[in-house]
Amino acid sequence: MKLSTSQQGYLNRRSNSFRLSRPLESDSDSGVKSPTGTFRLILHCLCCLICLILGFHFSRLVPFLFSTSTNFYTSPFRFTESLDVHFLLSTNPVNDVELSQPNSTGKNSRVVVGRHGIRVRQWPHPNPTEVMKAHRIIERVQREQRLQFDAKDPRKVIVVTPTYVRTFQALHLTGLMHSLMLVPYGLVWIVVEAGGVSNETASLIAKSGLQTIHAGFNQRMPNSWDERTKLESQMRLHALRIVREMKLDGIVMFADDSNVHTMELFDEIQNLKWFGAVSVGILVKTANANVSADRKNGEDENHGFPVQGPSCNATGMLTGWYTFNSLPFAGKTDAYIGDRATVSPRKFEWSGFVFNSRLLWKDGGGKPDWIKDIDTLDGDIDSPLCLVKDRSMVEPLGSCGRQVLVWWLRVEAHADSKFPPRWITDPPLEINIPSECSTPSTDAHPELPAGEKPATNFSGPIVKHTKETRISRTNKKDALMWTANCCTEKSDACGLIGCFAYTDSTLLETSQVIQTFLSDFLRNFDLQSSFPTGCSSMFSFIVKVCHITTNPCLFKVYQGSRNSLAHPINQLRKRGSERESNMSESPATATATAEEVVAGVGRKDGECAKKTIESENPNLTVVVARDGSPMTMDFRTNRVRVWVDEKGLVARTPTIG
Amino acid sequence: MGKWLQAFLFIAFASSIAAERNPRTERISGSAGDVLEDDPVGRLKVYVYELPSKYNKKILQKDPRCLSHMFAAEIYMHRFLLSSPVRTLNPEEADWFYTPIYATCDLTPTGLPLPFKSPRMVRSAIQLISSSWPYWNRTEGADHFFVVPHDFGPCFHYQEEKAIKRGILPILQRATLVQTFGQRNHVCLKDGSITIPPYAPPQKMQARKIPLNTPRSIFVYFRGLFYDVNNDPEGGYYARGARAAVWENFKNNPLFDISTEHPTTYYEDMQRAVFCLCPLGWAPWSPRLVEAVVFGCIPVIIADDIVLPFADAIPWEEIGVFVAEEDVHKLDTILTSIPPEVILRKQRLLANPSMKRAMLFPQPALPGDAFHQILNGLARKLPHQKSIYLKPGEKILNWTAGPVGDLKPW
Repeated sequence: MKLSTSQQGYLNRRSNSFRLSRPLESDSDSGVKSPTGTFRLILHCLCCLICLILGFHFSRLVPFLFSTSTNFYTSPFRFTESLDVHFLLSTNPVNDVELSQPNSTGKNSRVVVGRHGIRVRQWPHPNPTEVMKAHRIIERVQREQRLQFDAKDPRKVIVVTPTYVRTFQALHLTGLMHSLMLVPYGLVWIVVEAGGVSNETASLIAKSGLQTIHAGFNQRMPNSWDERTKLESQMRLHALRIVREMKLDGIVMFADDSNVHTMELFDEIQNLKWFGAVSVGILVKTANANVSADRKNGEDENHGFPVQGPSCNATGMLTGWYTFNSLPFAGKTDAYIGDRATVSPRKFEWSGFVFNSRLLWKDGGGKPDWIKDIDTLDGDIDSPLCLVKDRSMVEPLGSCGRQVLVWWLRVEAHADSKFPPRWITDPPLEINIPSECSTPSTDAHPELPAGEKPATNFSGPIVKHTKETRISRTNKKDALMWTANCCTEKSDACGLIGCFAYTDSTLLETSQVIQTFLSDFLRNFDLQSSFPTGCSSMFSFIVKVCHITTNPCLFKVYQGSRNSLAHPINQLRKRGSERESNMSESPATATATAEEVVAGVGRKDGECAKKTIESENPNLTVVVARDGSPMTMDFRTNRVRVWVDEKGLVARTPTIG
Repeated sequence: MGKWLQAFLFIAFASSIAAERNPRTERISGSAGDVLEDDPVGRLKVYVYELPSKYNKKILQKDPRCLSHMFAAEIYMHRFLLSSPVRTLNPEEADWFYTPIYATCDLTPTGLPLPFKSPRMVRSAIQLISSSWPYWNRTEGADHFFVVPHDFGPCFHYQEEKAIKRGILPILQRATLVQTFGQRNHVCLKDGSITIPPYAPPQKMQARKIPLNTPRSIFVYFRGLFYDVNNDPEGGYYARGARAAVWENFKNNPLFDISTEHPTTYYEDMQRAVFCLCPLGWAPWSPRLVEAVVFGCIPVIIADDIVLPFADAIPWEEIGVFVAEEDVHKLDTILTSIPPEVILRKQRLLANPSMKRAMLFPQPALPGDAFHQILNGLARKLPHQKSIYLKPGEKILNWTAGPVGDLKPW
């Protein structure tokens, strides 16, 4: 094989060089057919004559003159493997310069000299998985850099958290705890609890596995935000006294239990020398549109962002502070915990500051003289900035405050909201969504693109009207058999044939997906043979559509004929409301009933539907009624109304009531 | 009959190509230091011919820019040898003879070297040494070495076609050539040549080092031409289309920091990148190779069949990434599919100071630098085979071969 390609290559090369060796003037003198040597001789003589006349070496000039007008690059040695490149090129081999020189040793590069195609791929955009891989590589490289070149013994992080027992404590404290558990440095977590140490808090923080100091604080958390902020400051000071007593060495940071931290923050504060500040993103929930409009105006006026942090000049020196402008919120903020309005931050939130714990020590540690002793403070300070005599000594962290490393957020339960105590539900909650059809993994195909063949992608079950029998769509032969049997038994095309899930955003697409699915179903379904004669050519499909997570299932009924598929004849119908109304009488039965009722719609006529429903559940009374006709208004959970049109075909989903 | 013979020769040639594709250089496992740490002193003696200054110093005086462009290795090698302990003043005991000519120091106003006069200059210098000393005629240059750091080295032309057409200068056919150009099976690289890195200003690079913990946040970095519009208006000749393919495929890719603009932070940016592209230009080699190694950026070498500097001592396969020219459009896939462990290993190897030293021509010279690697390469060729010494009266070189223009006196 190799031999043959080589020979092929050789032949190519030979023919090439034959063609090439009759080269340069061929367009001016195409009649010349003499062998190479003779031609070259003639050419040389010609050149010599010109040289004699003109006084320079003309033969060098000839190829140059030709090459400038066309291309003088050559592609003589093309092996078969490079032929695919060739078709990309504009071939102009006539003027190729012959390569083999008497003084060259006959060897040449495998690499072809000359013009090559520029390979441009069809789809130039980066592949998302590759982008992800690239970022993983970068991240890995940077982690390795940090491991190798950064401070060899990182300092401990001392985290101060004031907390108290309340509805959202578990929520906030768990979130913070998980962040702290990811910190790759030594860490001490000082949790100060208002109203004394409680079992709730202790059991929460014990799960972290971190080194924790759980301290009680002898005051109950007051009910107003103002008071709460003041008390929290005192609790933080209390924690700082603990740091001083225990002579903890590290970096003190303030993590309120509702704050959210980037992991970069913990790396960044390792660069701290004495006292630093980071930018805090303030997340303020606007209670109504009015407030948000006000805020927008406010932002437009001072080009503000809801950020608190240091700001620097061009040389990276601290020049001042950027604080959150809470003025637009004046009068609209919460006064009491649990109000429905927004919670606005203080001028300086504690979480925006970090400092070296040696600043707190009574002696030693070489602490600078611009720091105040915490004992000289009367215990009522606004922010850690009060500890500093000279504010210019504050080190701006996080690219001079340009990076927001912490988010500040205050969300508490509303006073009138109900939550299970300790987040334990006992007795178990009642079911309000059935487990069937709401699990996206099996039944949900909301994202199915219309271009793809649903027949191959659809893996949802075809549900017979009895729950035990599920026939997979993938097993198409069985499905057809089943439907055919169904038809022979005068219950043709009955049953739920598709189960879809939707989200709020895909609700509209779902309908298209179903259409595609049904068309495909019909195409693959030989109606003539599957439906014996005697069956109606009209039939309907029921498709069950459930919200991907929570919301009730909806049903769509499609009417079809042998050749076409009509649009849904009834639109989405909420099951949830139906459920609520028959909660009182054995919910399980009601659920089953609804399923079966729905399954019965696919029948060719109302009576057929009635029989099926009755045979499935003898306890039910089935009434066939003309759609749109007046009905009694009483609600009976054991009665099913089958709605038919003037032909006696089922017009829409049967209903309970 | 002749046709069959030719066919046979061709098959032999083709199979030799197939064999060449396998890496044939020695590989150093692990730290890759051992051969690079060799000390050439005591293992060879070099005699430096005393040539009239018109062959070297005068040329440099005319244009001091020669000291800073990427072909400057020939000048620094001369200076290095003059003060090197391997230099001997007694030609009788010399293992190697060095002819100090600055053949590429002839720059256009824009700083591009023009090698048109170089062949005549080399020829003139060899005529001089062969008539003044007996050593050239003894071997016809087989124990002489020449530094020819031009685009296509001893072919003395910057266009590849012309260079191939010219071939290695006939009178240098027996000499050992120290050159930047390296491509397997190329007429401009003969067996036994030593491939060296191009000259990159060592002090300048050293001064621009940034802290090693500066995070490498650029995935792929490249600065330079993609199209050479002046010399290749159609595109596809320059860099065999590889650079153009890089641009066309990845100009909008956020992972690729590529541009034609040469920023002032070029050296710093390379230290912030994971991969640095080193595609071929007109010639397969480029100073980016040196810069990438010095700055710890993994070189992505896009130049088919390239022979890299000191390939017998530096494990290029281990420290760099080789991408075939025809695969350039898949560059993102190729680079992202390298396992992170492999990348970290390449970076560790690149961090090896001996690797960086071997790429540079510092002033003054340091142990293990490129000068020493050249000497090591020369020392490894010793002792000379007996066959290089010619019988009295024997002539191998053809002094009248080559283009007529080269035969004119310099």
